[in-house]
Amino acid sequence: MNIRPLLFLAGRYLKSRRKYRGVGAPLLSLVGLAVGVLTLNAVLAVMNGFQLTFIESLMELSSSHLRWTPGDGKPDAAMQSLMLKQPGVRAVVPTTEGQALVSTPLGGRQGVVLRGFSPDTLKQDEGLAKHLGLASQAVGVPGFPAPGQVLLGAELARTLGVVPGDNVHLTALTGPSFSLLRPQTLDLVVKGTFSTGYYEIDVGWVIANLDDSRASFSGPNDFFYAIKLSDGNADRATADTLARVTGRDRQEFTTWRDYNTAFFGALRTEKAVMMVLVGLIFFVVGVNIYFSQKRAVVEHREDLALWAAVGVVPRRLRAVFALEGFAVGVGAALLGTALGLLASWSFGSLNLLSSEAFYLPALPARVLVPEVVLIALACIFSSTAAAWLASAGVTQNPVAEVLKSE
Amino acid sequence: MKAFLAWRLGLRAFWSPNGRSSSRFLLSSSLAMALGLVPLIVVLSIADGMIDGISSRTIETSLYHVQLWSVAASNPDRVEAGRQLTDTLRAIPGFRSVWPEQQGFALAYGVGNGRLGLSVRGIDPLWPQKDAGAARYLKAKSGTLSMAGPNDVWLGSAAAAKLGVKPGDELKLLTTRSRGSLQVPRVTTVRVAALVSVGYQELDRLWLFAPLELTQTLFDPRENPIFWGVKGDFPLEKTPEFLSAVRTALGFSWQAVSWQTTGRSQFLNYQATRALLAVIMALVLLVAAVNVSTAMVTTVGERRRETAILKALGASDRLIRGQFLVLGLGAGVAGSVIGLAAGMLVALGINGLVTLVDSLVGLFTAGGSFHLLDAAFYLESIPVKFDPVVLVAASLGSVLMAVVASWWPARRAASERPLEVLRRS
Amino acid sequence: MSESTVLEFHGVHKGFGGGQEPIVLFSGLDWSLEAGRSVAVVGESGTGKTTLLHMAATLERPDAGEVLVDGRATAHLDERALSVLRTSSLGLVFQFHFLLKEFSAVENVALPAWLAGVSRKAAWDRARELVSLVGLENRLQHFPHQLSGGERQRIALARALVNDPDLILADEPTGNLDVRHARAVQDLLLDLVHRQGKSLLLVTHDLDFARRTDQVLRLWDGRLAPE
Repeated sequence: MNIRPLLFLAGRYLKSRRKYRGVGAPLLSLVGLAVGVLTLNAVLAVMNGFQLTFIESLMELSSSHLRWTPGDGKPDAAMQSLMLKQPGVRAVVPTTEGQALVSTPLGGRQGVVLRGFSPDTLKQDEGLAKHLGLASQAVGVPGFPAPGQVLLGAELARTLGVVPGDNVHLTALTGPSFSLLRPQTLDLVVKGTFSTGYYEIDVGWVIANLDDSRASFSGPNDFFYAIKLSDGNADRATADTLARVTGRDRQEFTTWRDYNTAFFGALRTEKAVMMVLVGLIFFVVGVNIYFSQKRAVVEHREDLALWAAVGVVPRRLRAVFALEGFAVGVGAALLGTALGLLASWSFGSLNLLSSEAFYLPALPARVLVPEVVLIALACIFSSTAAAWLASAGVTQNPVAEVLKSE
Repeated sequence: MKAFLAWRLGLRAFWSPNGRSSSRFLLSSSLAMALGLVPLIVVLSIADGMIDGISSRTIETSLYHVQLWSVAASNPDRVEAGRQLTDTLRAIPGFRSVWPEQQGFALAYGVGNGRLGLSVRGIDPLWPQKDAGAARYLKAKSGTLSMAGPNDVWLGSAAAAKLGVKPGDELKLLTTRSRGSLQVPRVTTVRVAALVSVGYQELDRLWLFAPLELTQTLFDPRENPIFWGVKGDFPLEKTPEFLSAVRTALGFSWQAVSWQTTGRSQFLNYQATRALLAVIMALVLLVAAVNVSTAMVTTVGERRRETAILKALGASDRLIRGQFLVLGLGAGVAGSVIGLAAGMLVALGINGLVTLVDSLVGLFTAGGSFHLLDAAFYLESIPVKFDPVVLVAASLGSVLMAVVASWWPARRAASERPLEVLRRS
Repeated sequence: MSESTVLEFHGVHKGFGGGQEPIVLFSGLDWSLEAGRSVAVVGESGTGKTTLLHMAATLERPDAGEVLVDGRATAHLDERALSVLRTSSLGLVFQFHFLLKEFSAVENVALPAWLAGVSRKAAWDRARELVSLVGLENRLQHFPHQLSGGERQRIALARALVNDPDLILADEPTGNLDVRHARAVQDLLLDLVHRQGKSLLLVTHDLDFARRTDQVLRLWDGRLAPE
């Protein structure tokens, strides 16, 4: 089935449109489809940007990919190095997570999430350090706190009116059981601040020294090892492997999926809804192409009858009309994708959002290649399918009728 | 006279048997515009409904319409202050009531090792019953909404889940007060009397309501001053007038701020998001207008002979143009009406649709249940608000787009030379 | 059946128009055309000459009976098979030239061959050869609107020959032309048919033209009889 003569026919028909019928219809359809492709790409890039950067930060800072909680709440260096040796494991960091009240001598007071890290964490987990803005060794970058020191989130420091060198108090209840809870207060020096770009963390977190935290603030369940993987999606498999290799109960390992299911579900839904809504564009333009091509089939009635008369199978001629739809789809996909990518890349550098409404300085945009391809394919498919459906009229014209009518 | 003729010609062009295939094309383009209008209407109605729902809840149960902070004494006698304020503000149109509140932070510890930082709100226990607005949204999910004992508290239901407590359980609250340069911690045991919710977890996630008498012992009024929340019944757009009337009535002894200031960044966020969504949906409508344009080009092409004859008989360019513009207008109006009706229907039925999707997808997912809109992030049910201004603007915009899309083909039709067309055929 | 027949009608029935008064054109027509012969069919309008030609061209199916082309029965063939048959065995020339206005003379001739599966080079070579054969070698790149009526009909003739069919079917090929051009096209057609040993079934009103073929048949009342 030689496609080249069909391409020749389709190309000539497309070219001759300009002279006889005006290039309006296919051009308008192309522009319409391109707008759809452009919009979808740009919108998804921004949604991805928000979601992925948030997820990454969530992974690095908060839930990590895996957690191992020792049953007795005590550090286990042997376990730590054993887990670190496993393939796919990037970092294993001992840490605590709890809640405390931070207050200043001037009366500022706030409930905070208290994380405990040792100064080694800088080397052990570069991802975490980077997301906290602590990775570089430049002057003014504090590094993780030593005993007696804390780091405050940048927004928290601002709200409390605290600068590095000031003192703050951390207060929490500790004790072996509910009835034996007693308050514990530590007086600590602010070594510096950290900034993640996420308001909730920058206003709600305090990072203390691991030993301080374990000694004064942590209950038995607050101490765990935060495990980072090279591939976040391998969490469950790696958890199984680690349980097996270390001989521990699988229940002691929890994955990020266990924590955040509702959140990720919400993100997925929003993206799907957006794709459906904007994808309507493809349907609408497809309808346009359908009717345009039906028109073209009617106009080429004589030609088609002639081809049938000289022995060309009508089905092959359908391909000629479908090809025009295909060409429009491909053109629109290329144009729309190029513009969409351009828009996505420019979002990062333009300050489009006022900082009153949004905390972020610039729109994050992430382009996911599978989505770009999917959008382009949907575009090409809708226009080609519409043209193919419209070309059904080709087989419906009785040849002899047409020839006789001349 | 001539304009009327354009209408008649235009409408006849649509119905005449000669133009049958282009009539189908035009009809389909009209439906395409309707299809493009539906997402715009649905998205805007839902966005408006959500913003409205969130705003009302936030104002009625959290921000109040206006907050009053005393400039004079930091701890005026509560009962006296309340009476004075009520007397002073009563005359303001729209005034409903005024309520005291004291806010602070506490760490709550539950029996099962649950721990959570909470926003403690010291209130008049009668507030949720006496204030119609609060009563509307603040509901007890379990337990009774009363503070019978001095240490009875109400806890947000999400917080209760995290702490693992239910009505009747005890909580230990950790607070601190300054004493000189010292921070003095204080532990208070309270009893959970009720679990409450306002139907929007983002709002009530970390709430703990306690009697004002209790919070006054937990928090130093100099560090956590008592303020007064004013409630009114007036359209939210009229807030600046209300605020101004309150300020005038109270003079300089009170500082008054409205919810528009206290909730500023949050509401800006919503408005900006809504605007973005509207722009994107309008794009779909714009592309649908392309359909009208293409259909019109086809119609003009099909009626070339008729147009040439009309011109040869003396019809003016304006008349020819008008004929096609009428067609475009008709397509736009039809699409607008259908799109508006369909959009409103979909918006009204959106809760049912979501439930349907939930149950259908739930058949295929492992857990057997699926929630398209998890209550943790959205309002518990989707409210829909039809703002007439918005609906009319969207419909008119759609009609306008159809007319604009028909403009160039109509001009082309008018500018063709009749003799050339007749000679060619 | 003789090996050397290119076209056979067996018991062919054909009518049209249902309802009150259906018109019957043929009832039980039996006739064949031998290879290498040219036959002209004459008759008054409405007797069904064109329908006869269309059935020979497999563009219309008989209501009953069999039409064989090159010894092959056509009644049970599907569209695809019919297309193949038409491409290989038949060349059609109509009263109206039916050239494609978007394509040049040589392209109009080459395309049917190319679409039939011949290589592009071979199709174009053959097209050039045939266009020269009909005397229009200096008009290869001209488009139909740049050719006169007679020239267009000659190109149509060249196109009918491009796949080297055994049988040429011509329906009033010169009906639209003036006397001078008509004569030229008639000469060309008969010359090509004889030179290349093809069979010809010609439908025409023009008796002089008809008499230049091997046999003239008159179609009357659904029957073919020698004139």
